[in-house]
Amino acid sequence: MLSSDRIDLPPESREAASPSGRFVLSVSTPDAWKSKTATAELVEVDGDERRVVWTRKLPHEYGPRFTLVTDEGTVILLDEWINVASSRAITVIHPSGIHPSGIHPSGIHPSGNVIAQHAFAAIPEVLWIPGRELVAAARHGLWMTNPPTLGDDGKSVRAESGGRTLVIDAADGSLRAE
Amino acid sequence: MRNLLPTLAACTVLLLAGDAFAGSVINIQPIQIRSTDGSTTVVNPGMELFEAVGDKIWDQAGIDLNFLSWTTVDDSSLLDLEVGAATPGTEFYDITTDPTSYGGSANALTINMWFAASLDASPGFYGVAWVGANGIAIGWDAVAAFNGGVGRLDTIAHELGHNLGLGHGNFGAGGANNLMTTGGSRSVPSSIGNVTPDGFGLDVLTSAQITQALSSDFVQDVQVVPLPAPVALGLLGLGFVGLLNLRRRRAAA
Ligand SMILES: [Zn+2]
Repeated sequence: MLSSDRIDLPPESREAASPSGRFVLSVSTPDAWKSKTATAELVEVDGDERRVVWTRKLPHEYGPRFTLVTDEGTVILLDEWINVASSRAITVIHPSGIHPSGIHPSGIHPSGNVIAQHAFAAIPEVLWIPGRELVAAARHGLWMTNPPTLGDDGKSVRAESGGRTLVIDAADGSLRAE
Repeated sequence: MRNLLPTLAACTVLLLAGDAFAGSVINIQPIQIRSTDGSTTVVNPGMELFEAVGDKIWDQAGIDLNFLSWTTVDDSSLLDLEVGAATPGTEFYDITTDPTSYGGSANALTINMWFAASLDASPGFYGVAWVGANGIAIGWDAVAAFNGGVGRLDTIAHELGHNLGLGHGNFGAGGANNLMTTGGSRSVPSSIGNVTPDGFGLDVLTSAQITQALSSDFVQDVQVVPLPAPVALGLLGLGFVGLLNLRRRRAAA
């Protein structure tokens, strides 16, 4: 019998919508994952109109593992597709940013504003649980026991890990434990 | 016996240092697949970190990994190694069932490990192995580039586990921190410091996995009881002669 060490790559394109459907984030590969990086695009939907809010390349290997969007257009990315202790375990992107180079060449597609990025190392400190315990209990990637969800207030993301809940504030990207 | 002599020499050195040595070893023959004219090299630079991580992981079972000197097989068609259904006529099947024609060891108890550039031209395909039988292929480009170039450090140890009879779903595998958990669910260390028993404690082996692995014919016991110094010195001399013989045979080959 044959056995192997391989991972299923993510679909070439996937979408996540905010609760009301006002904002939709798409994550896609331009080259069937040959380059291992993804392109993300946030659009605002108003009836039949779709306005691109921002586009950017994501450094996450094969894209992020989980993507969530609030009705304010804040995007929260969790982990990379590969199961490693990532330096970008949590990324929070606001829609109001401008392109780092100033005015975006097209003038209408800024790349969003990364207001917070946390490495995995920050999570054990916030939860007050040793990293190895979070890792031992994980079922989704390196540290989560369940897929993350938007909080009832629609302004935070909740991620369960090691028997506790990590709460990510969408407004400022700060972390706290519950 | 001639094969035993160098081992005796090594053990004797340990005895002279005052330590008794007992343990298990797996001999691994790494084989580099190159282009037909030998100009394209898959593994460059070396893989010392991967060996060190493998050694640390298998130390949980008291098993030492002994990587032999590299051999090569020059065949461009194998650079992207076909695994497919691993039936006769497919490349992985053919090289593992006729290893000596493809740079592998003639010793059935030495595990042959081929390093191809890729497997089935699939970027998420890192390694493949027979379960409970001899033969491993590593998709080196994907392994080396994993995690921003850190490398998928535990693939070699994982595939060795398959040859020793371990699967993805038996002997307690399945948790994210277990060595033998399937690729998409296993957490991979970014450094040797996060391999158990240190750091995040990754690539754990359960006691059931260790028991199974140690029962494999590929795991060879090395047990030496302390000897009086004069006897040890004599063995050292004998081992030295054995090493000379080995060198002579290698030179002849
Ligand atoms: Zn496997």
